[in-house]
Amino acid sequence: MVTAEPPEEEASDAALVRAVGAGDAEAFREIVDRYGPRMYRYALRLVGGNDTDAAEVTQEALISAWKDLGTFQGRSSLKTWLFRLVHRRAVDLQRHRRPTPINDDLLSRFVPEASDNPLQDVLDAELLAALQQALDELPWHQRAVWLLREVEGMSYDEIGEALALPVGSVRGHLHRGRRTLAERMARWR
Amino acid sequence: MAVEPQRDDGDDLVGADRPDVAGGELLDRALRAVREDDPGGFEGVRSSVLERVRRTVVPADPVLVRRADGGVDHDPDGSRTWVSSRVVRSAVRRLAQRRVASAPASVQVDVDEEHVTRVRLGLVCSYGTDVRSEAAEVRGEVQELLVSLVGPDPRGAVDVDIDVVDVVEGDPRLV
Repeated sequence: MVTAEPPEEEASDAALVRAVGAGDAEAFREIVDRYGPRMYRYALRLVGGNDTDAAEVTQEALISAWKDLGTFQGRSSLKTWLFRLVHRRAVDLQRHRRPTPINDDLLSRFVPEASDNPLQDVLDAELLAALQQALDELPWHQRAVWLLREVEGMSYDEIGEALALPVGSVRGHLHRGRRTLAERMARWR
Repeated sequence: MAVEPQRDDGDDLVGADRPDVAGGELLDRALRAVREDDPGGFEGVRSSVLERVRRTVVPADPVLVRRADGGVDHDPDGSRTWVSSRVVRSAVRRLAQRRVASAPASVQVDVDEEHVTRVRLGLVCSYGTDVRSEAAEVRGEVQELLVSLVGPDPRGAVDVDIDVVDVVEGDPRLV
């Protein structure tokens, strides 16, 4: 019998997906740890900074992933597929809950831990709050494209797959989103 | 949790697409802040998700445990022992994951009238592996495992179907 100890190196996404397909819950935990924090961050900015909604969206996306990974065909990357699940859950949530109220606790939630530069921290927190407010006013696709491109660093192709949009539309949404956000940030100044 | 985006198509904020408006610089600063921001809150999501996964009930059938002679294993009071096909599936997966030249991509355990009737195992092999001998070895190991776990089946050795679904360069548990 040719057997080996468990590998110490990190498994690729494809290897983890295969292991999950064979029923390995530990491999799924690795996927959750690898992509979950970024999925949550995306969800949080997408749903207006509401951490309860972001948690629900991310949780439902990950549970869907667990149920469906066995049938994941690998036509897109795992990362793109997971962000698509987040996006779909966020769309579902918005459909059921519109209009989304602005969270009055937005500013307090962004107050960071104490650091060596408290003035900069306060400025960053205010900037983040202003950005979130500007994001909330953007049309849905512009907001999603901007977040995936600028914050998550996805390529146009990946964004197109995640949001089911042609690449040309991705570019258009990004261009308009950037311009609108910059204009609104200028007002904040 | 600061994740630096990977640019792969030459696009950057400092370029033709960058808004030439007063808020551009502020937007850049806000973007840096949001990239470096750790919003917290994911730990709770993680725990909840993993707990739900753990509690997920996968459909399973009972497999009757037999003695070495193939008879039904029961105590003097007549109590018998069953093993869930979920346990059998998990044991087969762990066995297949210990190999060097192949890794499992799917495991299915068929049960009929409390007997394991067939195990279907999808394998990914590393490039250059003799897939026929690999499959034969895995098949033999799975059959041994079944005997040790639920006892020998009086109907004969359980069929173990091996389906090599992919071949990869390197360790199939990693790539």
